[in-house]
Amino acid sequence: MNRRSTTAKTRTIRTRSLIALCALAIAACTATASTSATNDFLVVVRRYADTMIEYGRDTYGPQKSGLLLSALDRTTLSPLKVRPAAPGGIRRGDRPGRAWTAMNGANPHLDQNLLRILYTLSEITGEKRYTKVADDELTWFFQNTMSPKTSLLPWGEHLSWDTVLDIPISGGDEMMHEFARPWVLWERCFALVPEASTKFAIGLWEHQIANHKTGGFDRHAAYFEHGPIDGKDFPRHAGFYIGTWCYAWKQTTNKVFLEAIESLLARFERKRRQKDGSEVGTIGPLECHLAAEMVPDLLAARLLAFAQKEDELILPDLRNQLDVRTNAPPLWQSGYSASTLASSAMFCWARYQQTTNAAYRDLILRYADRYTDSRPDEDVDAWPMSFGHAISTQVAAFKLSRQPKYLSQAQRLGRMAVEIFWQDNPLPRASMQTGHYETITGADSLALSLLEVHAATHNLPNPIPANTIDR
Amino acid sequence: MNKNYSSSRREEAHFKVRASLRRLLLAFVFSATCLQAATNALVAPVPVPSSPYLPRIYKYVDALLEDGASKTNLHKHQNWLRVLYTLTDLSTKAKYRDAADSALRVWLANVPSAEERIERPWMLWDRCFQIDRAASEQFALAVVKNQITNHPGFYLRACAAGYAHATNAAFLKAIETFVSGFKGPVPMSVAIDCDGVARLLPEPLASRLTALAENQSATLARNTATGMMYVSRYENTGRTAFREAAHAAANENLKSPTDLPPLTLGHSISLQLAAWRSTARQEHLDKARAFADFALTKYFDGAPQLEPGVDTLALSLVELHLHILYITAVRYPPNTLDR
Repeated sequence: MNRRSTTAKTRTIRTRSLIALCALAIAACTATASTSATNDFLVVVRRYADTMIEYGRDTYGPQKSGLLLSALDRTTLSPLKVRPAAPGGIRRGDRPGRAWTAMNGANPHLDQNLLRILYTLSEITGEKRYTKVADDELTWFFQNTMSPKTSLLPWGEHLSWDTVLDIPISGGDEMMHEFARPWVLWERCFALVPEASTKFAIGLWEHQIANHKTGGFDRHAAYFEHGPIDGKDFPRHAGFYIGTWCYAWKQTTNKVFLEAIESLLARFERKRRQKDGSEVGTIGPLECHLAAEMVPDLLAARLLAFAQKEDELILPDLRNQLDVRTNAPPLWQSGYSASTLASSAMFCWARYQQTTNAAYRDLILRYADRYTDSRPDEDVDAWPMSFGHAISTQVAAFKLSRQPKYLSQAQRLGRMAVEIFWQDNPLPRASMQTGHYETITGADSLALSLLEVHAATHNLPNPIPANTIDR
Repeated sequence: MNKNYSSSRREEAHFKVRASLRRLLLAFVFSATCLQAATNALVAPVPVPSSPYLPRIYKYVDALLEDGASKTNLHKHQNWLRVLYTLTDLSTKAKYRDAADSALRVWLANVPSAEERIERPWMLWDRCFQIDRAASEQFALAVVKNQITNHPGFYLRACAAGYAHATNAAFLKAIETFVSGFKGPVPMSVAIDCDGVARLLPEPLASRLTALAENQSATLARNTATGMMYVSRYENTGRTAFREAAHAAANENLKSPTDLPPLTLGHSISLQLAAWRSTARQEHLDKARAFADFALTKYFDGAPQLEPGVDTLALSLVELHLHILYITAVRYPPNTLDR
C-alpha cells in the first residue's frame, strides 16, 4: 500500500470517526433516555442494527466490502486501534483480528445471529434495507474471500477477514478453518450465491475430510492449501458438515453430498460404541434430523434412527445436570468449550421443536426455573450470550407453559442485560468487565433473545429465529 | 544357509530401516506441507509482547515458600494466598495450592477475638469450606458468637458463606439482625459486600441487601483505593456512574509518579488495568507496565519478605501478566479487598 493511499485512508478514518463521535453523542442522549425505559427491546435491537449498518461496516482499506466488523471501539464507533483486553474465557487465537495487534476482523460466523436479526427486522418493520445489508454481506463474503485452492472460507473459530488489509487472517498463528457453530443460513446463501455455496460444500468434503472411506477428519483444516488430517474429529463438527451438505444436496442433487453425509454418519455409528461395549452420544440429533428432511428415504431413515438413539444417550446426562447438580454447568460463567446451563436448555428447545418430545419440554421448564430471580455471581465476567440463552430459555418456557411468570423473568433478565451491556451506548459491550464491542461473546445472541421477548410480549405474528445455534 | 539366512535378515533389517526412514521422511514432508499450508499468513506476524512479571513472581514465591518463618505467617496475607492458588492454576504445580491450603488451616484454627481489628473481608470462604467444612462452619459460628462486627464486610461474608455451605439458619438470622442496624446510606465498602453476599442468600434477605447496596453513600475521593472500589461496583453492576468514577480515578492516577508504597502501587496497576479493559486506551496499559517495572526493581529484587501491601502488589503483577498475554483460561482474583 503506498503512502498516498495510507494518508487518504487515515483521513477517511478520521472523518468517519468525527462523524461517529457526533452520532455517538446523539445516540448517548437517546440511549440514556431509552435505556432507562428498557422495556422496549425492539428499540434497543434496532438501534444496535442501525448503528452497525451506519458505522460498523467495512469502508476501510482498498476494498470497501461492506462486511460487518466483528469488533469495534464503542467510544468512537470505529475500528479498534488496539487489541483490547479479552473477555473472560476467550482464547487469544479465536478473536477477530491478527494476534497482538489492532483487531479489525469480520467473521460472519460470529455475526450469524446479527444477520438473522437483520432479516427479522425487515419482516417486523417492513424496511428492506436490513435484508439488503445481510444479503450484501453473504454475497461479498462468499464471492471474495474463498480460498482458491481449498474453497474454504476465512470464518469460524479462528479465521476472519481483515477489513483494513483486505486479506484472510487468523487470530492465532495458524490459518485453520474450523466451524464456530452450525451455519444455518445455507438456504439464503444458496439463493444468493449458489455456485460459491456449492464450491464451499465441496471444499469441505475435499479439504476438511481426510479419509473419505472412513470419514476421518480433524476439526482443523488448512485454509490456504490442501492438507486435511485424520485427527481430532470432534463429533459436533460432523453435525455442522452434515448440516451443510444436506442443503448442498437439496440445491444441486450432486450425489457427492450424499456420499459425504453417509461417510460421516457411518463413522459415528461405529464410534458411538465404546471399547467396553457401552454407547455414548456423539454428533447429537439436531443436524441428523435436519438432513433427514432433505435426503432420499433410505439415508433419511438411517439419520432419523441415529438421531433418536442420540436422544436416548443424551437425555440422562441432561437430567443429571439438574438432578444431581454435581459437575453441572454454571448458570452464568461461560468460557471456551464451557457453556452455561441455559445453553443446554437451548439445545433442548431446538430438539423439542424438531420432535415435540415431552422429555425435552420438561427439561426446559426445569432449566427456566433455575434462573428465577438469578443474576451473575460476584465478579464473574458474564457474557451477553449467557444472558441471551437465559432469556430465551424463559421465553421457551413461556411458549410451552403459557405461564406469565416465565415471560416476566425474561423481561427482568432483558432489562438487566440492556443495563449491563448496552449502558449508554447503541452497541452492547463484549462482557461485564470489558468495554468494547466484540461479537465472539454473543452480543448477537443476546439481541436475538430480546427480539424474542419483544415478540412474545406483543404477540407478534412474525417468527423469530430460534436462539439455538451457539453449540 | 546360515549365511543366506543372516544375509536375508540383514537385508530385511536394512529394508526396514530404509522403509522407516522413508516413512519418517514422508511424514516430515507431509507435516511440513500441512504446517506450511496452515501457517502461510499473508502478512508478517507481530512479535509477542514481553512480560517479565510472572517469572519474577514465581521466583519470589518459590523463595518465600522455602523460608519457614514466612510460610507460617502466610495466612495473614490473604492476597498472597490468592496468588498461590492462581499460580497453581497457571503452572499446574500443586505446591502453591498446598501451601495456601496449609495457611487456610492455620487461619481457621485461630478465630479472632472480639477485640481484634479486622482489616479486610475474607474472600477465601469457598476454599475454606472445600478443605475443612467443619472447621469453617465453626469459625463462622464463632464470628457470629463473638460479634466480630468491626468490619461489616468480614462479618457479612462469614455469615453468608456459612449459610451457603452449611444452610444453617442461624447465619441468616445473624445477617438480618446485623443489617437492620444500618440506617441511611452505607459506605461503598459495605455496599460491595452487601451486593456480593446477596447473591448467595435467599429472598427476601437478598433483595434487602441489594437495596442496601443501592443506597451507597457518595464518595468524592479519587485515590486508587477508592478507585478500586468503584471498579468493583462497576464490574458487578454495569452502572455507568461507577464507570465514570473509576475512569476519573484512573485518569488522575495516570499523572502519578511510580515511586509509591507497595499497596498503592498494586492498586494503581489494577486500576489502570480496569481502565484498559473498559476503554481500550493503550495509555492505561502502558501506565500499568510503568508502575510494574518500578515495582520489580523496588520490591521484588531482594530477599522475599511478608511486608504489608506486597501481596496486593504481587496480585496486580499476576493480573498484568495475564492482560499482556491475553490469557483468560485462568482468571485473576479481583484486587478489591483492601477496604
